[in-house]
Amino acid sequence: MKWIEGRHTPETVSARIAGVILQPPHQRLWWQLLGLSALGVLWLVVSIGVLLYRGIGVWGVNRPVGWGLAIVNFVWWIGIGHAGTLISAILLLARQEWRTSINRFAEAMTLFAVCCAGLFPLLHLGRPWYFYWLAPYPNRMLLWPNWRSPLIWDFFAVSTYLTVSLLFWYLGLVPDLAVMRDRATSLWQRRIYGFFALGWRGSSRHWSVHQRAYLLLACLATPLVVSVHSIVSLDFAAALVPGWHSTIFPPFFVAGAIFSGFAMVVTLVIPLRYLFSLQDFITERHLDAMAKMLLLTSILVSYGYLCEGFCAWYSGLRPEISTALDRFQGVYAPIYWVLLLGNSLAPLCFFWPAARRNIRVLLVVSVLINIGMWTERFIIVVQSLSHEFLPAAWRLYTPTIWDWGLYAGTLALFSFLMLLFVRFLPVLSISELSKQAVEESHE
Amino acid sequence: MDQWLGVMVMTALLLLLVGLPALWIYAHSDYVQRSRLAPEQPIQFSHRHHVAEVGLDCRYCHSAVETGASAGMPSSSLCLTCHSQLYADNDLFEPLRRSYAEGQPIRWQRVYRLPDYVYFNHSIHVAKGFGCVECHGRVDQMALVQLNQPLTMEWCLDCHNDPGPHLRPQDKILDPGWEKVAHPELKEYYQIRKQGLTDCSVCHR
Amino acid sequence: MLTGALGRRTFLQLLSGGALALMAGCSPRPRGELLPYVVAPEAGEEQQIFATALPYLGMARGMLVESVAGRPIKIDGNPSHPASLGGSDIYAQAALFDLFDEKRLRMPLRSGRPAAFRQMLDEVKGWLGAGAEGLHILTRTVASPALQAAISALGARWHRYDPIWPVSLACRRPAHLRAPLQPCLVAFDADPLGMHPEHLRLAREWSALRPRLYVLESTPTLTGGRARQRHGLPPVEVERGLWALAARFGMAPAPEGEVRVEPAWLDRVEAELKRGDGLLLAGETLSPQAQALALRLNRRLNAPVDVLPALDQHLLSPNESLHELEGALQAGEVKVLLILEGNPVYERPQFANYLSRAGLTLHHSRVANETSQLCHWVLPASHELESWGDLRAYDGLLSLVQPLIQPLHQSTSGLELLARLKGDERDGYALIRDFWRGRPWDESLRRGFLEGSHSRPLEWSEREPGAAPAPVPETVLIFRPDAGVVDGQLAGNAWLQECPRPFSKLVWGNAVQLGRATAESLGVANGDLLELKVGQQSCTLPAWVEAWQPEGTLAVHFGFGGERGGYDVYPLRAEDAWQAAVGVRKVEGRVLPISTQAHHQLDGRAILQTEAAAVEVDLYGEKAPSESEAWGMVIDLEACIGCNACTVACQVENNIPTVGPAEAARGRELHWIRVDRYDHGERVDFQPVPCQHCENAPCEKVCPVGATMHSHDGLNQMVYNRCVGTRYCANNCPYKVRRFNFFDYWGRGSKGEAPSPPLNLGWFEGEPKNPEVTVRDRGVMEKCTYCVQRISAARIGADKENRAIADGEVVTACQAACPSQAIVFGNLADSGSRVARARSDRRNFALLGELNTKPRTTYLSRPNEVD
Repeated sequence: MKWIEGRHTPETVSARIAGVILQPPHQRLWWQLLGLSALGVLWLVVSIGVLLYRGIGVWGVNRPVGWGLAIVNFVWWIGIGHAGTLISAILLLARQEWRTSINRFAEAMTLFAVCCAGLFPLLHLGRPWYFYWLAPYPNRMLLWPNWRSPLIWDFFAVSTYLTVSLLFWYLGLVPDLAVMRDRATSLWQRRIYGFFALGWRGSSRHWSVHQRAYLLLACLATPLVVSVHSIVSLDFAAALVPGWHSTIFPPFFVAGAIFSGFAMVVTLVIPLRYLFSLQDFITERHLDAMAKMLLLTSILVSYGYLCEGFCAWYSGLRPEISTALDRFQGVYAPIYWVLLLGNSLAPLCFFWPAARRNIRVLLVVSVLINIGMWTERFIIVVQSLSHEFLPAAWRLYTPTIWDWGLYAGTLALFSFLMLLFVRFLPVLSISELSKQAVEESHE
Repeated sequence: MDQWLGVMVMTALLLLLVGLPALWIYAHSDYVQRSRLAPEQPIQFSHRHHVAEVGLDCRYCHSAVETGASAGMPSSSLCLTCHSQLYADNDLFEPLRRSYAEGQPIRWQRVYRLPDYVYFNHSIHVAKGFGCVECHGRVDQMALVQLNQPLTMEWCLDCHNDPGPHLRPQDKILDPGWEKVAHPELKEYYQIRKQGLTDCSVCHR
Repeated sequence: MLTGALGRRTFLQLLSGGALALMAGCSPRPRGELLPYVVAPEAGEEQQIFATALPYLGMARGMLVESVAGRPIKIDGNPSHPASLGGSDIYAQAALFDLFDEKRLRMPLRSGRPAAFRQMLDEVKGWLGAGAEGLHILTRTVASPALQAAISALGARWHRYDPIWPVSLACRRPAHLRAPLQPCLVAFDADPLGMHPEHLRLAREWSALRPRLYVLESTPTLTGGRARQRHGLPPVEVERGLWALAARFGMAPAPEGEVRVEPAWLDRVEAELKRGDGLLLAGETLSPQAQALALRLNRRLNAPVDVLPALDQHLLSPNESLHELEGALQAGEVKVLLILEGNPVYERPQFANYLSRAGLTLHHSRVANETSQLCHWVLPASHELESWGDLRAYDGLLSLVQPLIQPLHQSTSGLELLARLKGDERDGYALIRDFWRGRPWDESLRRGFLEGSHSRPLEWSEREPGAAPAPVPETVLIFRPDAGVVDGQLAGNAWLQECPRPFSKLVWGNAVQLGRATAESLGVANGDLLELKVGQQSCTLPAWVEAWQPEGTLAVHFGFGGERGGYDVYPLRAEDAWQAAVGVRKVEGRVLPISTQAHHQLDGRAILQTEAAAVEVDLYGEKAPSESEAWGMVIDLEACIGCNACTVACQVENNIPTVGPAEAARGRELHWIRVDRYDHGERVDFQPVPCQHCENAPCEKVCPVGATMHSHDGLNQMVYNRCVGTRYCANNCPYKVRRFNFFDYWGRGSKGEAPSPPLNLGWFEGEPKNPEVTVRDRGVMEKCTYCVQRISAARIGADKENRAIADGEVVTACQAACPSQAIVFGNLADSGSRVARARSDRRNFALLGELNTKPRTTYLSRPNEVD
């Protein structure tokens, strides 16, 4: 089955993808967007500064809602990152050839998403300068972290995820950086690309080692797709809060992560392929495949919602039932409706092939999904905490400008990093697409 | 590629094999622990002279050690019980005389200091068989008081986990020169608690 | 970078040798200086306790004040004093704040500028000459015989005004009615457990007796909360109810027209009273005739009511005295007007017009207020904790007031000021010793009161009650003192401002309370603004829906307005009436009052557990407890009256900062123990919730750094220096008892700034916090510790003597404060201890026990009423 359109050879593949960097189109647009996101990053720095200087009180968190937008955003960003790893690792092992058109881009997205996510656990600490106490280092207090706490598992999970994703991404980039080095037009370009290309010659020995390492990392990364977000979900499932304490959470969260991750990939890849004329590589069939993933994970997530509701009812416990009903009847009910619309309702259109290949529909639905998944994290974190066991302790959470500011700042940081990525690094995997082009031309 | 790999691996190994022990040694160094550092005091008070030579009991000046959390520092008037007569005109004692005349305390530089979040009680330690020199060292041999113990949590826990080796007979608590001999039966004698000495709230509340 | 207190080490050094530790910059090891005493004091004790008396509504309650290094740091009730019996309330607990209030006047002011005291004396002499002609003194309730004598000796004309005058007008002259509580109590707008001057004693007696209580009231009170049958009615209907009851005993003509009291209630009460062990209580807000009728009925029922003289009973009525003064001012007879304490300009707004007619006005006050601004001279007044004096209790028992500290500012007590005006330069100690010549001084000082000095009952007859009042069709506005700031004098006290009012849970402000149906008819919800018009005066306040506020009535509380926050309703109050006809309409705008509890419903959950709980089977098996020590607490929900004394006591004991209105609105108040209110059918229940110290604590599992761990004796420890502030523990606590320091609430600026200061958090830097308790940094979690500092002290003391800690040796702050002894704390492993016995009570249950948290704090449920 041919995934790449047009008659491509490794030469044309390299030329096209390298051309995005060497003869960049839409330069002014790029600068404008970079400027905007740079402003956003500045705003991020200001938000962080205000937070560190004055304290957690600048956010809207209170008693009982001790976790607010910071944790919502943390989970949202980590979830988004999962698509990259799934595409890179699991689809590789499952020999899904359509992954080659998006894997580099998705891996970069993962990395940047995890960077954004990693800010939040640090910043939401009351005393962030002691963050290192979560690490097991030998100290003069004879103290170790509390291994029973899901936050410690988080610490290891996210740091492992970051490390493995970075390695995997870099390893895949090495041959492409060599291509860039060889095609570089200026001395400094050649030197920098050359440095990071680690002396890649493209010999068969290099390729043999590379492929084995790549496969090894894919095997390492595969369990991470499931484990990282399962561990993040255990932050909630291990607690006894009604609305959190549910065994469906690990698979539910993983499905949700893949869901939101793919949605983000679709949202970003559609303008990308348009602006950089990469339609040959990211074809309608690729979009179709991604839409099918979205549909599948949407159904899984909807199953998760049903499960939560059923378990609450089946338990017969007043606190569980009350919290579940409060989602529909409480102050946060409109947010819950947005959630259902974005996550359960909108993706159903992908049952129709026409919808799956329609760029506009894809764009709109993927944005709705991202919003829906954000509201899902909001409902899980905030609504459950606001409506717990003792009615005397029920209270609402209202995000403040610094809550939103930090979130907007991370969106800007993400954009900033993505913009730098598309400008300076090959957005698609030159080596893998070249290989695929050769294989398909033989069919 | 091979070169790079080789270089990177060697560097990493070097960092780990040399760096980590270096870090450990530094953390336990005298510099960081400020051991044997005798800070300058407003009056060069010599414990060696007053305890070993004159023969003063610790409690003469540090009178609250058996009853209170803090052992107490002698007031200017206490010093003057002797030094209004002895060395009454000596220049070294000018700060003491001025303190009394002006009603301003002498500003001693603290040597044994625990952080504010540690609630240490002297009286229970003294009551349960810990000599002064156990923690403060051979003060009777110090010309100027210096810090000899790390005073880290690790060091405190060392004893709280197993007080036995650090106990001494009741009449030797204030005896700085007592030779350290193991007395395993003292744990029973002092009725040292078996449970709870390593609870956080014993020190941190 | 160091966390923790600046002040804690201070005291430990000062105590036993005297040294003040100072930070010396950022170095790897903490440094500092040791500053010993220059001359050591004689007393070597770390902690001393002195007996004194503190006033409430002007009358004394005996208190024991703990002093550390020469500073008072904690107040508790004096167990041997009959007026407090060891209990205390929020006013006594919070008195320390007023002593150290930053806003206190520091020196005399003449027209707003600092001036010398001598100058004032000269000026007064200039106006008066040699005699006292033209000198008028305006005071509040004066329950101090020494002060009364000083005023008389001065020869001035003495006027008195107090917006709250808790006397009975049943007889022709004002009296204090006093009776031991009987097994059956019927209260008509009376609040013995709440605002009564003797409420500490009454709460203790009530708790020991657990009488059958029937209440008719016009606004929710703590007494109504404990009633077996309680009805809310407009004030006139409460009185008509009294007449209806009296008619059944043939003591009065039946009221004409419809009586809104339910006949079932009347039947029940009549039957109860006929059993012969009943007592009627009539509140001082009822009309004199109604109070008289109640007294007559009491006498008929042979209830042992004593009529005692009111303490300043040379005055006839609350208003007459002030009217006289106003008349004198109008006539220009007043050369010098001295106002001792109080704030008449604020409490009686029209008084301001008269004030300017005096020649020279002097205001003796602790803080500058509305009255001070209109007076020529403002003289700083000493607090009771820093002055010598005496004070009578409600029953006349004479107590000594002794200072715990030298006056902090250039202030004088009332006694000293009057002496100076007479040319007497002696200080308060000399004056009071002189006045007390002939009385046993040492004994009274040690005990706190003069044995046998209570008032003797009088043989006064009551007024003629007459006929029942006619029903009032209009909406009635009810005035009440605020449960926190009372009449406004305490509005500068942040602890009281932030203490939630028992029913509404409002803090830092007031609102107009109205019933649900009334609110619906006006179309208002919580926060909508209502304009109240009484006569020519109007005031706009936010509405607050209170299920227990009778329909057709609105309740407002005074003590607010201006810098105090909230809204001033004194202008609406004419002639010290307790109610008025009012016109109400909704106006544009919305100001949501700040409440710490938004939901009162039980939502079908077994939180109060009135049925006997099923035997629990624990599938996980028991953890072996410590053999010798297992701390536990039992809270009796039947005894808890909801007064919040525990809340403020805990705040004082544990250095809990106030957070101010902005932060309280966000739900960040830091009280370690809170009293929840639940509406439970016809009842309102209060449930104090401190940390439950669960054996199977959900918080301990999830702390990533191990900042909260379990001790061998059952305490859930909170290690502040290890906390990084993830707040996971707070999320996982089902009881929501954990509090987070979102900002640096002590405002020390060490780690960023505090939020903009709310009104009057004034607290001298470094001044009395409890040195035994850490002062928490920003970003750190805190919670109830079972007063671990007290447990530690007891354990150290016991270990030094090689004995076990005796039952009752450790008393937590909340336990000590509770006037009705609802909280019991002790060692569960000791089978003979009070707490172990309480735990084996049939009514014992664990809050949210089904979560298997195995809390060490359990509750005794309030039983459903059966006869």
